[in-house]
Amino acid sequence: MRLPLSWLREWVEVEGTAEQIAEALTTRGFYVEGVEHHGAPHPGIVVARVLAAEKHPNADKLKLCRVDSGSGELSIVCGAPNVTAGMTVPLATVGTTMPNGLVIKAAKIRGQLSQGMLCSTRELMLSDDHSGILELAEYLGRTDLPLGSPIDDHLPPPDAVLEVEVPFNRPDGMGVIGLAREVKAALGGRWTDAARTRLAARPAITATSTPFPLTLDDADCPAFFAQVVHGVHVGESPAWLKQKLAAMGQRSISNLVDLTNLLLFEYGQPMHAYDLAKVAGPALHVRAAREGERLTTLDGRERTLTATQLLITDAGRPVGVAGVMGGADSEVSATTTDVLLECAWFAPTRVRRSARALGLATEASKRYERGVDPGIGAAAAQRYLTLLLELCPGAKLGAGAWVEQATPEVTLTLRPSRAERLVGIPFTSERCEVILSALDFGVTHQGDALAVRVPSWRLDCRLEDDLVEEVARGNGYDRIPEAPMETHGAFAVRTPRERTERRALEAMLARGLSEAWSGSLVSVAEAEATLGMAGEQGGLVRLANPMSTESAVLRPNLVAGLLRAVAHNLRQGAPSVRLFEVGAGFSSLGARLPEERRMLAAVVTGQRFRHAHDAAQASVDFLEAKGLWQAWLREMRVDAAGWRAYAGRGWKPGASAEVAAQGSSIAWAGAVARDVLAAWQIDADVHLFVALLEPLAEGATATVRAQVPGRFPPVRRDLAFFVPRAVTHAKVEQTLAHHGGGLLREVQLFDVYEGPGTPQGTKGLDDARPSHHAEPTLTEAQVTVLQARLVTAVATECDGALRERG
Amino acid sequence: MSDVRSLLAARLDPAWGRAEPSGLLADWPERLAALSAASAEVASITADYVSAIAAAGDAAALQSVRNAALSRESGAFTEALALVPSLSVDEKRVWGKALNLGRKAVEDADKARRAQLEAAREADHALDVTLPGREPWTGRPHVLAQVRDDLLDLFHGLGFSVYTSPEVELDEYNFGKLNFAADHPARDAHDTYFVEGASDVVLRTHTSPGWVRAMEERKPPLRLVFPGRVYRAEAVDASHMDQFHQIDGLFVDRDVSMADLKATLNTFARAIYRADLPTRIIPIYFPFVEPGVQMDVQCVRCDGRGHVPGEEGARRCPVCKGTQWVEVLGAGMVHPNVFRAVGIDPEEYTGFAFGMGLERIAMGRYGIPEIRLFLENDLRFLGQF
Ligand SMILES: [Zn+2]
Repeated sequence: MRLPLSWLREWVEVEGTAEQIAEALTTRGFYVEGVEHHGAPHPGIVVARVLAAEKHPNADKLKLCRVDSGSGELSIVCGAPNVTAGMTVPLATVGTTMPNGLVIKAAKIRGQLSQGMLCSTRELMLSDDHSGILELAEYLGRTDLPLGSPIDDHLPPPDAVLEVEVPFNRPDGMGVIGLAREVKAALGGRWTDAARTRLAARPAITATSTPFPLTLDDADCPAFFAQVVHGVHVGESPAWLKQKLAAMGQRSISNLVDLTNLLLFEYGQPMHAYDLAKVAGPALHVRAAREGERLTTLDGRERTLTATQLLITDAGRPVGVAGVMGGADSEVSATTTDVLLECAWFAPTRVRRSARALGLATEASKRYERGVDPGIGAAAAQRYLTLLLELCPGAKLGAGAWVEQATPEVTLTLRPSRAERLVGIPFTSERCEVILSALDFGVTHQGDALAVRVPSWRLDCRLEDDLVEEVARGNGYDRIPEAPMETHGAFAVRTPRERTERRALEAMLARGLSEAWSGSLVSVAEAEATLGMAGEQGGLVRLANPMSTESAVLRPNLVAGLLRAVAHNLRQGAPSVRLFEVGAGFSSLGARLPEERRMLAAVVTGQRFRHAHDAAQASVDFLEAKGLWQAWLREMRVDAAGWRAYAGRGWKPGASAEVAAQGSSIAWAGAVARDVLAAWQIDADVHLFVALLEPLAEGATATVRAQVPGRFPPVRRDLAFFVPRAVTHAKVEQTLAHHGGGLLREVQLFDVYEGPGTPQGTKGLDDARPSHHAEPTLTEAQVTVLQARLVTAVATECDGALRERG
Repeated sequence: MSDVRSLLAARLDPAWGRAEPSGLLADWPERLAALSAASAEVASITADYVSAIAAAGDAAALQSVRNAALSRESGAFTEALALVPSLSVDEKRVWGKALNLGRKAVEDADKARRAQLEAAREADHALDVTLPGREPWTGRPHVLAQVRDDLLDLFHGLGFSVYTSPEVELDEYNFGKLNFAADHPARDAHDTYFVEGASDVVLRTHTSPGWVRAMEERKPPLRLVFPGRVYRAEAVDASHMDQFHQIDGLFVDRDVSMADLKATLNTFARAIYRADLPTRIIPIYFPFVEPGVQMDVQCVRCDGRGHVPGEEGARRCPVCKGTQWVEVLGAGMVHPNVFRAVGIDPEEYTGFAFGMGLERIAMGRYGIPEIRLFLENDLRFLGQF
């Protein structure tokens, strides 16, 4: 909402500069985003007349003018296309400093002397118009301007316009009057006499008036004022009206329409003017639209209506969508001689739904849906009629109808003690009264409390705490002190989820992966390509109203986001990408809300080291990547992770694994399948790891029982076996562990051998077994017995043969 | 005596190089003076040996000089000293002293030269320590995680615990119980993503639904923070994302006031911005608080002047748009309707709440010009923080 200070001062008498008024509004909750200063003073710029304007001899686009400056003839070169002989123009004489800082000098332009400058409205900072030189006589509506007189003698005084952000709950701030009331309260001003008169005005509908046929058939329209005015003259608005609308950023249309807009901006009351000749009956009827009913609105578009819209019709057909936009057919035009004014109140919710369904947001609908003051209609209508009769002196009031609504009387109790409790400083009932009265609330004392009558325009005040806010605002938020910091016995704890995720993060950072944050919204194609890669069972969660196909569905897991990141970084020339993310995957399982599974996913592609210029540098392979994931699982306190081959969707078969702990799958690791990578145009091996965090939370946050290390070093034995190729390392390890009992502490693979001397179809697995027993240390005899038992077990359960060593 | 002298002289190989003895023994002038006082001849011979040692180019040459002078079998000093017992008492004293001083000088010179040669040998085999090492990869937490953790550390210190709630929420929790009336224009500020097939399920537009869930689940005093991702159905550009991150805070107990709120907000500003940065709180409307509060901090780009130096004189500050202040968060006292919606008696309890955006803080702190960068995961961007 724009607020010109000249307009504000028509309503209230207050002291203060534009900046002080802006500050006052901001600190009362009407945020002023900017202050524009208009019509800077123009010393040195005078009224002049163009005597002749001819083409410049040496330039096609320039004109050479002879100008009467009031104190002699000047030669001036001008580039504006509209300069003609006889025009009255603003002339910047030599030596003038323009509002933008430019100093005017006498100079030769393409060989011709130029002794000043003719100005456009933009050069005078009167508006943004730079299409031509300002025709002063037309602009000011005067032909008697003395040549040579300063233009500032004839222009309206400089003004400032505040750009005010009006809170959603303060529709009264959508009009100059509402903002004026706030300024008045903030700076201790008073209504002007004109304001008092206007606010108390009511339309003069008398018993002698002919009643206008008006029927209201919908509860969402409880109040409607209709008035016919005969003998109007539709034409251009006077300068003062044009200037007011221009300051609001509204273009001038015609005197009748401009007046409705004036009232909209001033009173916050939308109005509409119909051409009476085009209103069948003439009569007006307000009802719900019927399904499929059609109306061409003022913007020229034909609209198909539903019962959502409240419709205004004449005796036969629709003439407007109530509160949103009028119809094109009954629009006021240059030939209009009789006008029908509408000034009505419509229910906010109805207008909001109606406008939304039509995809329209008009100045009227914006005000109606927030809530127009139900008590302002009468004064606004009367002001319109008064101004209309001033602009069209021959006009006469005709038939009228006035259905008024009983404005709800809202009276609230305010306890100063409640204000003190919420705001944190003491308030007396007298102080509360001063603050509320300044905003035109009605206040009476009731014991310690106040009975507060809420004005009709304050739709936001329905509870005692709403009045507490008024008191706090009025008193100034800057006067609220800082209380000592107190927690009331509350203390902070880190939740298990925070602790788990913190550990997950740190354990990944330590592996040299950086943390990624990807969008949760992905394309359907991306979601489908990766669905199930974190073992999720449910379906996709799609958006009903996506903004783009790239963001149409919630990610089922974190894979798509990381692959996006891999693709992006490879495209940007990164040789290696190492990223991980902690976040939620979303699956629909039929409940009201989708399941949100917290997980960690990580990708690695490229080289083992950030830098190595020797043989240690290599591309990350399966075992290198698996080592990262194993180390991470160890940090997450997963002791017994079982790895088995996995060939689920999205994973490359023969190079992927599923990880289980305590009987349930907790993670997946391996290479991403080629077809999935192709969807992101990735042409590199990408190693991926996905782990569910919830199953890890318990282990990651458990308090361990300390164990004292043994006093004796462990006994180590190296055993090497030939086993069939199909027997996995895990199988041999399990066999050894199972038969080693309490004496076998750890099994460690130290080589896989498939070179010369390996029997056909077998591989050599060399396992070292550091054994450990508490105290005393194992005897040689015990170790020999254990070793024999293990060799037998591997032979019988894994078909393995002890490899004789040379 | 001439026997001893000639013996020494004979052992001196003229082929040995010469170098300045003082290059090897820092105290050589003193030693030579002491020697000369005992025997000028021995001093001269010693000087020759020490010079030869200083000139020895490698370990073998040095060993050869050493052997000539000191070898147990045939060293010049060894043999000369062996003759000393046969001299007269006076000669014994003079020659014995001179020879011992000379031998000591030669031994010390040998030791010093040996160390020099060893150091030179090691220098020849030195690694080029400027070669880059075999450097493992390092990982960085995301810049928003760093900002979030700074905030959580602060609020943790102030006694606030984390509470998490779903990102996909019921309309009732995102709006209804937070006092957004159905069809109220306040909902327009929250462009909402809806889930297909369920008109009452939305992607939360703020982290405030967490308060509702926490208050339904727990009893006051509640001192909680609610970090998380939120969604708005907005077209993405340099300053708008359809996903971003907030932290809400909530404190509910008997007799919590705006003065308590102000203390918390100012503590936040001092810790996260600057201890002496001016702040202000002004009224603002949110449906779920009453009274509502916006906190601004003074613009750090223009130091609260509203304008910055430009090429053609001062121009309007691009950060605060000339207003001298930058909005950092919204806050207020929990609305009585919100309390009623969760079954808390607003006459018994009061509370404050606040909410802030991580991106806004991160962009201000690090001078990040585009909000899109946060979710792009460009390693060159992430690696800076
Ligand atoms: Zn600034």
